[in-house]
Amino acid sequence: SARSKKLDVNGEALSLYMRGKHIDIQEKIFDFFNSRPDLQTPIEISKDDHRELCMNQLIGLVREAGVRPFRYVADDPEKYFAIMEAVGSVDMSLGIKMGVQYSLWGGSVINLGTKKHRDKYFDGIDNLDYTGCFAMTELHHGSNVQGLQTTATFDPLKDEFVIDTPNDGAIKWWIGNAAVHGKFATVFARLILPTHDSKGVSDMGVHAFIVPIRDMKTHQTLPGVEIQDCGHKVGLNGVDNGALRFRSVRIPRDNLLNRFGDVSRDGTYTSSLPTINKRFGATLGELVGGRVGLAYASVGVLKISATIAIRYSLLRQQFGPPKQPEVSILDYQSQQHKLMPMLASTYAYHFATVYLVEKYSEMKKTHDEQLVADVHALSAGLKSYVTSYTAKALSVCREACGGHGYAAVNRFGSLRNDHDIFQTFEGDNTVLLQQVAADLLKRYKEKFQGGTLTVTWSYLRESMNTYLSQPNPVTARWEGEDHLRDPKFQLDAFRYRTSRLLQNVAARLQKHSKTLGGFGAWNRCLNHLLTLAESHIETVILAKFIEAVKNCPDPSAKAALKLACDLYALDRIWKDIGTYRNVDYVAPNKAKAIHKLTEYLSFQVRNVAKELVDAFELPDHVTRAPIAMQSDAYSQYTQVVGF
Amino acid sequence: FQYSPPELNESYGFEVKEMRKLLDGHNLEERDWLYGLMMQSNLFNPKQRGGQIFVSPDYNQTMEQQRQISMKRIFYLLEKGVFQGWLTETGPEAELKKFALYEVCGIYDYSLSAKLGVHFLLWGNAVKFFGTKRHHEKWLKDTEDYVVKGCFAMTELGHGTNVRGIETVTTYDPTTEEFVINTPCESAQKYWIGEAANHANHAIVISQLSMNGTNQGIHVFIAQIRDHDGNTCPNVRIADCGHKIGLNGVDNGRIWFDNLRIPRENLLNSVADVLADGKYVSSIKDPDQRFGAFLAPLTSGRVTIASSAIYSAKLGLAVAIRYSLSRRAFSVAANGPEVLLLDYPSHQRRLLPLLAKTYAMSFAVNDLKMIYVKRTPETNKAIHVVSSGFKAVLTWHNMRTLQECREAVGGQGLKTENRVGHLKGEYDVQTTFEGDNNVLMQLVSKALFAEYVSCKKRNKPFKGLGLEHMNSPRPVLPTQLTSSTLRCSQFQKSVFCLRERDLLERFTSEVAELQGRGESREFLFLLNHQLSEDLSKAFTEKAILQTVLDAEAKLPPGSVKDVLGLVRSMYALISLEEDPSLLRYGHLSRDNVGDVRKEVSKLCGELRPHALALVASFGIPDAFLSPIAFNWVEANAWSSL
Repeated sequence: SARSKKLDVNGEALSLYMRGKHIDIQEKIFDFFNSRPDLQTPIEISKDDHRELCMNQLIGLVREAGVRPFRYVADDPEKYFAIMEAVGSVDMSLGIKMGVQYSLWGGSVINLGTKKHRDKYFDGIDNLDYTGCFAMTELHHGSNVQGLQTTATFDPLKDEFVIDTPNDGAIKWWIGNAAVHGKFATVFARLILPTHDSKGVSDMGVHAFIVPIRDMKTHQTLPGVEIQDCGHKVGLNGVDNGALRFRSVRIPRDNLLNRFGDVSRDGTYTSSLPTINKRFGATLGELVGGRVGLAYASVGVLKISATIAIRYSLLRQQFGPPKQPEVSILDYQSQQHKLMPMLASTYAYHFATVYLVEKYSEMKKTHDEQLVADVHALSAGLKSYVTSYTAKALSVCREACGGHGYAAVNRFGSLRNDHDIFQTFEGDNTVLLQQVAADLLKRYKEKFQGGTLTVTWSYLRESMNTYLSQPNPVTARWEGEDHLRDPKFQLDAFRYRTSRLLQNVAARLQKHSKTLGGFGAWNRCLNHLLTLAESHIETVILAKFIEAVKNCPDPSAKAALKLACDLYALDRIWKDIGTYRNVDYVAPNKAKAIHKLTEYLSFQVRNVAKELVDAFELPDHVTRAPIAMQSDAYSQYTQVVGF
Repeated sequence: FQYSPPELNESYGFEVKEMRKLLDGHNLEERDWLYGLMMQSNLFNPKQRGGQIFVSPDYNQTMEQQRQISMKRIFYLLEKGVFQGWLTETGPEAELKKFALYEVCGIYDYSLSAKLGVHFLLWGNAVKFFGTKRHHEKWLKDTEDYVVKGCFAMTELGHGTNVRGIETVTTYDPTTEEFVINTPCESAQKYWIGEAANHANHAIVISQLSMNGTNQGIHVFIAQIRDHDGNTCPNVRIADCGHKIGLNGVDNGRIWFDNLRIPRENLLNSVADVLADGKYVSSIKDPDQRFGAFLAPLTSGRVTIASSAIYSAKLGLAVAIRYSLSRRAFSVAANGPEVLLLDYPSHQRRLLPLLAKTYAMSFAVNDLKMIYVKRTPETNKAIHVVSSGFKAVLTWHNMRTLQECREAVGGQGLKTENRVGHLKGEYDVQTTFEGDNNVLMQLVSKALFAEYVSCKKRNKPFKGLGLEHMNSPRPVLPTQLTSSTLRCSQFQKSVFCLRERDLLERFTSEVAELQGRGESREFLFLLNHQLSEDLSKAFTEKAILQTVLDAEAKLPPGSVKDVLGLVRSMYALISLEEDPSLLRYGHLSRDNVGDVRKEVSKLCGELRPHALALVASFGIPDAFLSPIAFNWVEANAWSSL
């Protein structure tokens, strides 16, 4: 019957729709590394060798392939992220190392500094003469940046700042590029100015300083700087993380990155922003690009692992009816259950993060205040949500490929280990989700004070009026396929859930704060707050996916995307069916129909799984997993072990 | 002008849910479930207009497209289990549920319900009632699951209502133990056979059975007309009937049989059988009685037609009345606001009597369904007579109502999406379908005549057909009809009984007098067709009134009962006002008729505040009405394009 008919997808049209604007430079990068066996990362490599190889890869990219990422950091972030995605596909360590050099070290110089810094450092950073690191995190303070303890005290007699690590807790830790290659560091330290009052000094809050840490010629550690190796890590061992301690290191006054605050020759402080918190916020705000990049890169990792697992599942056969050919393991419902909702999610996160990158680019160009707030909140949520999902998905992919998933050559182990840090890097995911929840609550409060809601959150205005009224007793029972696959129903359900969770958590906080105070109440409701934040992010993701489906020009590609979108939406509803059932938003018969339909949709997505993964346009020399090779099934795998 | 929903200005003077329970009568949950199934699926063409979703077929589609989508809708409903038990379950509960679901389908699209009617009520019921155990086992489940798709080949080019005159002839070949079905001439071709043009693969063939040169009369056969792949079988010819003025989702076709051979077992043999050696056997010796036995199972078709006519009228009235409660035209005071259409007495006159009649007929059809599902051999005759009368009166009422509603919504009535105009084309066929209404009315009067003569001859009291009132003295009507008299249920009942009694006595007297001059009875019936029709109409209207009185009597005192009393009075009085025979035969004086007319106008004013609640009580979801029943300004706004 028509119901089980397989979609005939125009793969080229789907690829074209999925293709980024900067596929050309990505292909250039892939081709460069494919043509250089000496720059390819072997399966087994020591930490030290990996670090050197990684540096050579970066030098090769910049000086031989002619790819100059730094100029795009500020001027064309979309292109910069496309380069980062491609580079990260070659070796995730390389992607991170490039990010440290250009986003963190280079980015801090051009974003927090002024013209003089740009003039002095840009070219050196660009061509890798000035390798650098980003010294923010301390042993005792990671996500709580305001609590940093490293000090920079102004010495007006010598017109210098003196950088000190006052205690062991203030040692800069996990600093990429610090252990081996970095010659400079952007050091985040409290600015201490002399005063003429009884205290003698004034703490102006956290500021950023350029601190040379190694000699430009001899590469020896400079006086007062102590560098230790952080050692072998779970993953990303191509990046040389180190620890830094400063003992009265003197730097010129000009080394203060003074865009938001400056110190004059006589020690007078000036700033365009009135308070320490405002300056601190502005300083951190310029660093949001990192987590935008991480969210985007995480989807890249997810694409690779999903591609490997799905291609293998299409290839591999096991068991089957008597006297008939063995069945492809992707035809097993259990395998579909593991991988097809993941494939749908990969598509959903692709569109969401592409949107995030677009918004970030727009923000960098326009500096629109509303956009800044939007991107900040959206990047926190997406980075947290997507990287958490990818981390779990990598394990699922590993298992889905059975014993072969355990072979290092098939990459799940290294991908998983390398990606692990994404969940705490650029802000711990749990902390970021709390920021999202706090934003939601703030707007919930504003809603009843007549405040304006920004674009991303505007659905909450409607939701407060519409969704929190009694669920519709008629549609609560509707189980027709057309209804369940209606984007209006799906988005409505997601929004309903977020609104319900928001209302509940607001009530809980109000109740508990009477007895426990603000912080106690927050901690008591923390799990609810995290769920709320996740729900909101899922809603934003779904809205973007629906929009992407709608805008797709090719009918068959559109139909394939619609399948994936429906599966993403219904799978999520099913996973939190309890929330919907608790308030009778979904009646029992409807819940059953949703479950049944997700299984059916997994089957349908399976029918177009090859087209969907091919649309990622990942060449074999990028996936590099023998079990995912599309030609000469198994031959590369057998060669790896010596046949 | 700002659209203002009727709900803002009108309040419900009674509990709408309670009234709906009375009107729909049974299986409310199943009805709502099916409404929901249709609203959920894109197959039912949901459209957003004026911020609201409506479902109705796209009548702009070609005939071929409409036929295809009708079949897809049926398969969707089949998959959802809507037809479960329609043929395999027996008993009143199963039959009532079937009626309810069938009615809901008709509200969406008459083509949908008509196709179901052909498949289940004509083909399926033929197998059930004409067939025996072997036919039930072989065909009923497969029919219910649409493995077999059936049609009912009775009507011919040359013979429709006169079933007895059917020319298709079947003979028996004992050497091969087969029947041979033949279309002997062009006027014998089967015509207007629903589902024959495209979808059916089997047909019930109504044919004369000629055995050894003797015509045994009408018999019923199963013939396969298409193979599994949809190709026409050998010795069968099928042609399309073409585009119709309505119901283009039903594929009506024409069939010729060219000495088609079918197995002996394909005779549906509950009334008569043919043995292998060619011997004809039947438990009913008289051919006329046998013919009557053949026709009896067709009664359910009339029941469903009468019922669907009322639901169609409800739909039209809901749209027209809702529109009249938001649309304004002209001011009666200088610089005053424009007046709502339904506040004009003339508009009330057009719509509210029809609303009252629809209510009364809704009770009547519920009563008929109950009698039907609890049928016994003793009640079959009454069912036959009452269903014929109801089918005629209710379908005529529907046509009149739809025309009035179409006009009442003005230019918007031209728009197909607003439904009221289009419904008229769709439901038109009901006045000739399953028997031409005029012929059915004659059938009713003949039955009444026969009953009257029979009781008089045997000097026995009248029993059955609702004629028991003739065992009592003739009612005497008051000379002057006051308002309270006119609204009195006893008066209403008396005048309806008197009318029926007098007309029946006149009819029998006329026939008897002419018969004394040597004329045949059949000829006399034809001569007196006008009196005959008046009588049948009087009989039917009285039966309808009785059902409203019965429903009303069961209600506890309260607002529902009060409003229903107003509705009943409106029904009774408008029926009297519209019947010229009351004045013609002297039952009412000219003054009386004038009083009735004035009272109708008063009742219009009293029903007006309840108009919205009365149509809301129909229980039809908003999505099945049309844009002009709701925000018709927004529905037509530029932003809606």
